[in-house]
Amino acid sequence: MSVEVGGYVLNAVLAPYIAALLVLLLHRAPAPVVAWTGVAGLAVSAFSSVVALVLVGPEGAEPFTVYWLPSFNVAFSLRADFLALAMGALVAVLSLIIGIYSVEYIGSWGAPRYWFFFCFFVGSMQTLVYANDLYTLLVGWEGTGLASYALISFYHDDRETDWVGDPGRRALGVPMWSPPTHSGIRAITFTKFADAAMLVAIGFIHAVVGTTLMDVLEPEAGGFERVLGAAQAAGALLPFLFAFYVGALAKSAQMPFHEWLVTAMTGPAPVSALIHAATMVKAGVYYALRFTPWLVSAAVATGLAAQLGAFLDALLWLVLITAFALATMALVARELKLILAYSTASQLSYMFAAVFAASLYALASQQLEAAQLGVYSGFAHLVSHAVFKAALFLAAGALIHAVHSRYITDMGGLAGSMPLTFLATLMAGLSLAAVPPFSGWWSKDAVVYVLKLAGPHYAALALVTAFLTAAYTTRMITYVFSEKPLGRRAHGHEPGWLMKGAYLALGLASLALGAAWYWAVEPALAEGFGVHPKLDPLGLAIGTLAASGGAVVGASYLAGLRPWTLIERSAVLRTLHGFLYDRWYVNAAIYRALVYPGATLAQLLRSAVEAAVDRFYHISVPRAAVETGLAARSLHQGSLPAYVAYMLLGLLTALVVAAYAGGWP
Amino acid sequence: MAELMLGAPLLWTTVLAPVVAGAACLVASGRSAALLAGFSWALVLTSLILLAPLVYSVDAPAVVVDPWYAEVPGLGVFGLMVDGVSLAYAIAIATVSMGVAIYSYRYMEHRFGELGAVPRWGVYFLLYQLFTAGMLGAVYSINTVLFYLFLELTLIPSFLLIVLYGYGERVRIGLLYMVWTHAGAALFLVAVLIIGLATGVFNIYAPGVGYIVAVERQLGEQLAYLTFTLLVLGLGIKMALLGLHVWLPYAHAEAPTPISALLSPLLIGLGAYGLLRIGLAFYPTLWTAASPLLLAWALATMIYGGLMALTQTDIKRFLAYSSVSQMGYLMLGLATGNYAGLSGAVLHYVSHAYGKAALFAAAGVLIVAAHTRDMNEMGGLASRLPYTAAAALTGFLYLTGIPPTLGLLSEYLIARGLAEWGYSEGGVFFTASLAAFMVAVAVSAVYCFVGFRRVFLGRPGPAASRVSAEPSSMAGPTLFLALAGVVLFLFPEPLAGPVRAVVGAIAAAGGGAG
Repeated sequence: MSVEVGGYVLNAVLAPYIAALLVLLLHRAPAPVVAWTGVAGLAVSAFSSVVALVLVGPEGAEPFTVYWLPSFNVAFSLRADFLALAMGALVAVLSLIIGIYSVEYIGSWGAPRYWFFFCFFVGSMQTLVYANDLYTLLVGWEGTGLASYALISFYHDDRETDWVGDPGRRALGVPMWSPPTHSGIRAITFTKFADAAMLVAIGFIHAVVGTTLMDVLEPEAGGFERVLGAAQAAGALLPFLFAFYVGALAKSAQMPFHEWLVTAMTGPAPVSALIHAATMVKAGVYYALRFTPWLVSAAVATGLAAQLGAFLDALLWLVLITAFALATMALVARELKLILAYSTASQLSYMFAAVFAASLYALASQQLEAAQLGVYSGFAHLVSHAVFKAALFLAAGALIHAVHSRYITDMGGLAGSMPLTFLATLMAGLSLAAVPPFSGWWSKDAVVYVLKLAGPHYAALALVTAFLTAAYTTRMITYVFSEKPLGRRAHGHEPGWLMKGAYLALGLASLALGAAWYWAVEPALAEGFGVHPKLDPLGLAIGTLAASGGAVVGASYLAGLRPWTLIERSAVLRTLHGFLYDRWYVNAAIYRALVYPGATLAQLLRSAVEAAVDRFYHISVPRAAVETGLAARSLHQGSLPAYVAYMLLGLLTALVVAAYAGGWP
Repeated sequence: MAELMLGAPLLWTTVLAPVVAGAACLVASGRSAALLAGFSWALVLTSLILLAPLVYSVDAPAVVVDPWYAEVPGLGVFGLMVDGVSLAYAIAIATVSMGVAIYSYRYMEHRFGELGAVPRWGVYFLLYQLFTAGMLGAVYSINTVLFYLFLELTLIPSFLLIVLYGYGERVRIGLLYMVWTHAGAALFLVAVLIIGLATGVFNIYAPGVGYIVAVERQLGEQLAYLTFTLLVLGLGIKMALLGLHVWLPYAHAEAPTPISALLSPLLIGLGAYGLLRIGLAFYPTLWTAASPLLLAWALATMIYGGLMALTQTDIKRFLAYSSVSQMGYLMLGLATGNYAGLSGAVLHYVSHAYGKAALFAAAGVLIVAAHTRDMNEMGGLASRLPYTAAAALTGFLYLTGIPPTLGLLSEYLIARGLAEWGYSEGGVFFTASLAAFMVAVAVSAVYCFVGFRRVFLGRPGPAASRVSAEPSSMAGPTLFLALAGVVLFLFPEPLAGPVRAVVGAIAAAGGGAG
């Protein structure tokens, strides 16, 4: 990397960290000072990462490496290939916009804490994005885990307005609501559980190739060939692949790990935007985009294509089912941010699906460059999702704040009082629904195209989900903006310009990206990833049809055809509604199968095992010693004949022993 | 590895400095306690400064030997040395004791008040410094018997500190602590005496010769099995591994809190040190053969300790069980037997030292400020004790391997050791240990963050209303302890490089990859 580019990339990574440190030092300063210090750091990061992208362009540049821990061949190393540069620029720019929104939204309560973790979050994400070293990547990865924990439980006094779920509602006896501090624990536990496996997988790679530098893993260097070969030789290929991917699946909220993400809605709205658009859940997808094509070429080179193919096929099914399942949950959810959260997990699945499907196709057809097509499609969808989802969450923050309720059923008719918010939500929502010409339409079709390469059934499942996506999006918008409120009367008011400017810009961006897609965005991405995506008219047509069909169904709410009331009346539908509303009982199953038995086991171990061991060592053993002593004392009562007898007995024993030792008889 | 003979007995000085400080405290008992605390602190700091130049000579890497060594008839050579592993241990011991010494002042003032006793700072600081000196001496020892003697030197002052200033049934618990750890030390002593009598080997390191390794070959099969078992059991008691751990929650919970902050991370981790220097270095073949068993024991300790911590309501017992679980991490690294796992274990000693010391110190703040140890009474304390909460959260990050703490590096290296071990043992072992490791790490995350929540987050409990102000003279050192390992996370090489060189040499002696 030239000194210049290296400097910009380093700035992009370090500026948010430095801002975090400054926030810490300034924690007694007035809230605006703290807030703008944080924003300044984000601005430097955004500027630097965009300049780095423009300077380097699609060719990429050499990595920038400082040996951090030379004795283990571990480095702090940053790379500047197109994927890293484009992702870094996206993350930094979105974080900056969300940061500006936060200045108004957060105010002064907990401001230093908020800005410290916000900046730390962005710095960690930039670290993992630009990482050219697996340990560097881990530093960023685990850093995002900490920041998400702290921000999800930001309202650490557990005020009821910031809970998620309906207080009092239970599924299979398991509470389906979550206060902020509980959500934080869920987030860090779910991800840390999976990260433990990732640590082992990275350790395995480190042990085999002798370094954590990622250069060695690139297809030309052949590192992954040695890793896969070693795993196969040890009979541990499947567990290795599992360990390698499970961290990414958990971070990106794929089933059953989506549970942490849906309760993460207890954080402030800009935190949700940050997590969903820029800094947290995209990390898993990015990881898959980064490494899957390398694994594919290594598997082909080592003759393990069939094994990797089978594994990726299983993952593909998992993510497609996640996409479908979470979309169905979004259909019935009543909390605005919860709908958006379901939608995120579902859309992330598309991104995973793109790269897994393209890789499957590449493995089957031995056309290695096809995997890159998956990277292109997955990343394209990542970009459009990041923009529209940030807009939706930021607008949701304004809406919830305006009506003092997180339920869409308490909103309604807000288009009149919050027109700009409505406009932004509409543009972003249409992009999510994949309606032309918004960016989501282009990128979702690119995903469906690669899914079709792997098999038409995959594409069909994705289209069903696209239909559902359009339906729940329209339902949400209808409820919030055009319906009459079901409950109390809602009064909306627009927020200040820092807030509405942020989401309006993002809403417009999803339109602008869509408008410029064919002429500018797609060629730029295609050049960057070195692929030649083909426009597939039939696919586009079917995709459009699915989206508009879904939109029409969703819009039927407008006409007063509320399936809501229908479901309440019919027993069968009520069961189905409950099943969807309670998140397919996945949460209940996790608690019933793991959490509660774990707690019971702990109590049981404490009351039975620990208590018994304690009693044994601290009561039984000392008592036995005392009683032995007492028993021995009864032999020593001062009676001379007894002592003589003991003496004779002892003498006899000694004689026998001596005789035996001397070889007699 | 190259040997570097010091021109002056610096190592003995670092061991004696705390003793002199302690003795001076006793003499100056009438003076103000703050002065004494400051004086003790300064001398421990001197020990640390004396260590600093060694970092660079060790970086070569070399073994630095103190010129004051001598042959003791029948017991090998007594003397002191420092290499990468000793240095990592010594840095942790010195910095933590230093931070806790300052912290002690305010805490013990409170404790003396509670006991209704005339503050006898001289006695307190003398015992405190003897304790520190014993631990420093143990990690510098080149001789197994000398190691034992230093361990015993830690035992007596720590026993007295519990008996004099502890909580609850402090005399009974002091005795319980004494009997248990003394039994552990005695098993250890029997083992090293048998080894010594059978082979003449009493040294871990001999000046002019180098590390003594693979003694098992001279022992014969039966004696090797016997002494190995005795060693693992003896040091297993010191380390409080599962089944041998029941003494720890009593001792560490009822000790005066600054002493808990020394006992829990610093002293018990010396068991792992002994296992590395003697268990692994003397018995490379046996260690490898036993590794599946040791590994299972380690994972079981991690999970069991974590689950027990989860059920506690007394914050100090909670932290004590957490230490049991953390000793499982150390044992896991050791059990892998490869250099990554061993380095991870040594570095995790340091991580755990800062993390757990900060946590015990935070618990002490709660005791002083909120007058309770009952976690059920706590909750919502973060807004009243923000610096303490920040320090405690950072403390938990060390235990869960999250940046920006050294915990990430040590946990990663242990995981890497585990991966390498699984790779050499085959698919079934790889899969089983991977699954157990995931459970263990998840259990750690659960008890840490649930514990943090119960104390600091959520609705304020009854204890919150009793907190009037955050005692800054305690919160300051607590934060210092929490942040010390952040610096090491940012600049790990001076610490980790020499560690890797030493454990590489030990692992290579066993035929493993250095």
